[in-house]
Amino acid sequence: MDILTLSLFSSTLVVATPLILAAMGGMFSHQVGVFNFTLEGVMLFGSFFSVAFTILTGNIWLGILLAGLACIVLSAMWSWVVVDMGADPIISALGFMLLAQGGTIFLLNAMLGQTGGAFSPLQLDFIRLPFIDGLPVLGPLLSGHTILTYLSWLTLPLFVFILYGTPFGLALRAVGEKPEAAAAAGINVRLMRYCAIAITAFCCALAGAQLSLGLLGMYTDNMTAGRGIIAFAAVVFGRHRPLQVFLVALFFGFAAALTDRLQGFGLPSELLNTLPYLLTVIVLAISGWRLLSRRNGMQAPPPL
Amino acid sequence: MSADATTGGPAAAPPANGFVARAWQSIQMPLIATLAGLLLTTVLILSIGKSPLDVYAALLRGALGSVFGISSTLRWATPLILAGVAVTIGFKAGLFNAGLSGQIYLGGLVGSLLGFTIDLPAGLHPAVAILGGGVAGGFWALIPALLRRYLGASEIVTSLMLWYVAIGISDFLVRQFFRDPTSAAFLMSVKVAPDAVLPSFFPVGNVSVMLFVSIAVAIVAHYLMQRSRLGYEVRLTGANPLYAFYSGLPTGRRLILAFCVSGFLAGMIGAAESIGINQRFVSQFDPGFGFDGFLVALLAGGNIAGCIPAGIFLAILKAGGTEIERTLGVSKSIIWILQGSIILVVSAYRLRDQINALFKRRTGP
Repeated sequence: MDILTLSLFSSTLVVATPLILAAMGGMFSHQVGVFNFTLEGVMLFGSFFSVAFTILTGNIWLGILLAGLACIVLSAMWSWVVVDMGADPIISALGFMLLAQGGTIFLLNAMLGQTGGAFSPLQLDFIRLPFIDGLPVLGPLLSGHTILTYLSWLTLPLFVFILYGTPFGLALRAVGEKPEAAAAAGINVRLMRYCAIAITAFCCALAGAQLSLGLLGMYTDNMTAGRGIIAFAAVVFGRHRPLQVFLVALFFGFAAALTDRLQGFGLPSELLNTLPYLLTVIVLAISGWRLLSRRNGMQAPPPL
Repeated sequence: MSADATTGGPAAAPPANGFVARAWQSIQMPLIATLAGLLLTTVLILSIGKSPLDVYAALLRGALGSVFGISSTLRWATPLILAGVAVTIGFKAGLFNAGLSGQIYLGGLVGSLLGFTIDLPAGLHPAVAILGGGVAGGFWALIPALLRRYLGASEIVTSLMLWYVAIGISDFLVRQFFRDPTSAAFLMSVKVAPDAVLPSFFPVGNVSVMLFVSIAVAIVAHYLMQRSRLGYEVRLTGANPLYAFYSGLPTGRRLILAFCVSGFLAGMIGAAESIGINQRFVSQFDPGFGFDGFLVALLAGGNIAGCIPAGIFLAILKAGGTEIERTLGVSKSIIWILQGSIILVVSAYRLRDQINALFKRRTGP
């Protein structure tokens, strides 16, 4: 029983890609102080639209780009409700999730005339990295992934630079830490929040595209199956810091890959599939992290 | 942000005088949200070249236009009212039971297990099965409640995660030990004993005595929450936890109690669905009662008795959804879209303020 093989780590990178993309994107919303629970819904829209637009335009890159734009527009609806209309972020995000589940079924029928799912004529290529491919261990591990997997690794340095190295990132963080002070300093708080949610939406669209165009080459109803919620847990557990969020998402990806692997050894799949969720609960429990409880004072009362 | 967000649905407006004024104020947000949802679905229906009026007429016809329609509406109202009450009880304590579906699922498992493993007289058997399902749901809700109480972990996320865990455990147990050997395609358990089945009292459809149980639970829970000492303590814990805590209330225990009662009611839903409708445990039997429960609770605006009309409203949508798919070929996912957009907008209280301001400007001071 070789469980901890090289291919396990390689498939960890594959499975972790959508989690990393969605979590790193979701981090932006949390950085501006918006509790973004829409990751699941936007990801589902993303996996649908990337297939739908790839079919309609016949070009996979255009398909993914249009899917990203569609997700930005749709999640702007949520931004408006939360940023401008004072809606509860979690309640409205659950509404958005239901809207995504119903909306993708409806649009699948309306745009493509299909039910249940749709095959994409095109799929993302597995890229062989020129130099690394030939190396003994690193080759099979790092080479041969889709461009979105490589992009998911690039999000780490890129987002660290954006957040901590640019005036835009400084403004984002200021809005998250003290909106009043940021406003007094001349930063447009609303605009920053809209921007951050749009970045989240675009990243989630890419995460969805990896699921449909990268892994399966098709879209099926409700194919995200709670991955967005796991990504959300990664943002929360990683305390919306880039490196921590990245590592937590990678770890959740490892748990999911391990689940797939153990299934191959005849262990019951139903129980194994609960592992990532169970792990998230345990992780939230042991972190005992108070910031997560949104209502001040609703956390465990002070010990007497 | 969101530290000031209320979970009790629309944010509290300044209290109005008189019953009519208060009632009007409490239905404003649900009304605005429903209109917004209808606007979106109307646009979508127009975009596929169908007539919205036909669709809405078919919806009402399907839900209320025949004995079968009415029985179908009442069949859906039964779990929806109970789900709304379960969510609202959480709201009252300042908690959001987002994992209702998990508690429902486990309740369904235990309810049907009690239905085919034990032997009891006809009247008692369904009651025992439903209460047993309730206990299972309450136990499943205890986990997030304890994590919240002692570790400060968000009950929203943990209970939602435990939903997936409940599905895994239940499906595993049924596949391993209780699977109906004649069912090849679907994962389902053996049938419950004939004594345990909840009979329908309607000539057609599946309306069982559970309907009256749901309504009675809503009324009793409303009364207890408003009038009893325990209900007052739960409400105080939800409204102002620090004040409640420093007044000497055992707030932690009240939180856990409210969450477990919420889970208990959810478990009852699962058990009643299993022994009443399916007469066995069927994998994925829950058509999304968790979400429906949020919607009912949000429409009811934190009022437990208000879950009765809100549950019937949603039951009409559900019962009519089948009709529009059957007669007009419009996917009933349009009902999900409607539900989703209502939930999306229903807590957006500033929208109401802006509409009110607009209205005041028009009609003068």
